[in-house]
Amino acid sequence: MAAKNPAFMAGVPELVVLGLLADREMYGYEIARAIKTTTHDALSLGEGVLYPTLHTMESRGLVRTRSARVEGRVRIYYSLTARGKRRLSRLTLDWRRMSLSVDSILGSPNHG
Amino acid sequence: MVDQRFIELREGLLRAGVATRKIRRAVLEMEGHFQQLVDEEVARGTPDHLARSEAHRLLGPNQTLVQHYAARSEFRSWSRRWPAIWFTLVALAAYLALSISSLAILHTVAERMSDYLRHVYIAPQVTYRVDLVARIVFLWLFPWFVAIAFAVLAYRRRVALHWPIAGIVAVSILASLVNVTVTLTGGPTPGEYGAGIGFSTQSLPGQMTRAVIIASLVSVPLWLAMRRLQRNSGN
Repeated sequence: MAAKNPAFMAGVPELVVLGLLADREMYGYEIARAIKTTTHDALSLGEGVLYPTLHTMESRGLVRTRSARVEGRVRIYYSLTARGKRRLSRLTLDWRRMSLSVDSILGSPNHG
Repeated sequence: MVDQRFIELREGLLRAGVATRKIRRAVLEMEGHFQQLVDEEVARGTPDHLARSEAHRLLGPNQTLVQHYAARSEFRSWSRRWPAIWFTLVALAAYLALSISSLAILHTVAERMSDYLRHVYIAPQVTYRVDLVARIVFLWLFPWFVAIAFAVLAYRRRVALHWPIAGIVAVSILASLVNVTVTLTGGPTPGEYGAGIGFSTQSLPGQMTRAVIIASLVSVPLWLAMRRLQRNSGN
């Protein structure tokens, strides 16, 4: 279990992006903005992490892309694939289980 | 106008070995992102030059993005993942494939024209020139073409010089050992062609001279171009 945790934490950007794309397709800037506004600036995914994460997810078949020209600029829109949806369900489950486990420790009478 | 930042980002990603297709996408998206940040600042009433500075600050240093791309092996180009194979074995295979496929085309054309060739007489000067052209094409132009193609690839991908130079030398040596003859005479036995590979003590000095000339014609410009690139990036 201990060995799994760091890897799980490293997957947070992926989980966040998958979660946002579950509702609708978005492009990079939109995703970055949505993370900031949804979490009230508590979570910020730097562009240096966001784009490599998106491209990795695309190469793993978790998201698909389409390009569109908007106001003279090319935007790459990302949307979830069936595999991406399955991955989101699994990561969400893992996250909730982890969160409950940590909460149960932090919330126990012996803590603090 | 392309911002200097994105020229540097492209160069940084190239040097990190990221595939050009991925680089195009990354730069395109980062440029779009940058422009949106600028637009957002301008909409708040910030002057354009300050909006650009703020957008640069928000995007953070190029190095962060380069490091994240470099850390993911799936983003690396094949030529950077396996440079030894790509610039030596693939280059040699490309030269052989080009030569063999050209011989196959020559064979097909000769077969199709055999009836015609049996009824014509070809002057010795023409026979000599055809053979000369075939030798120039197979023994000089083909290896030069293959070597230059891989040198350009190495330059564009910013591959360290040793592997492309090794490949250029290997192709040049192989080409110098190849011999091609095309004898077109017309008449009852209209001609013959042949190709072989080998060396003899008598022909070795000439073959090695040919190898050195072909290798130098490609590797020296490549070395100069790479050196200029390094100087420019150092400035």
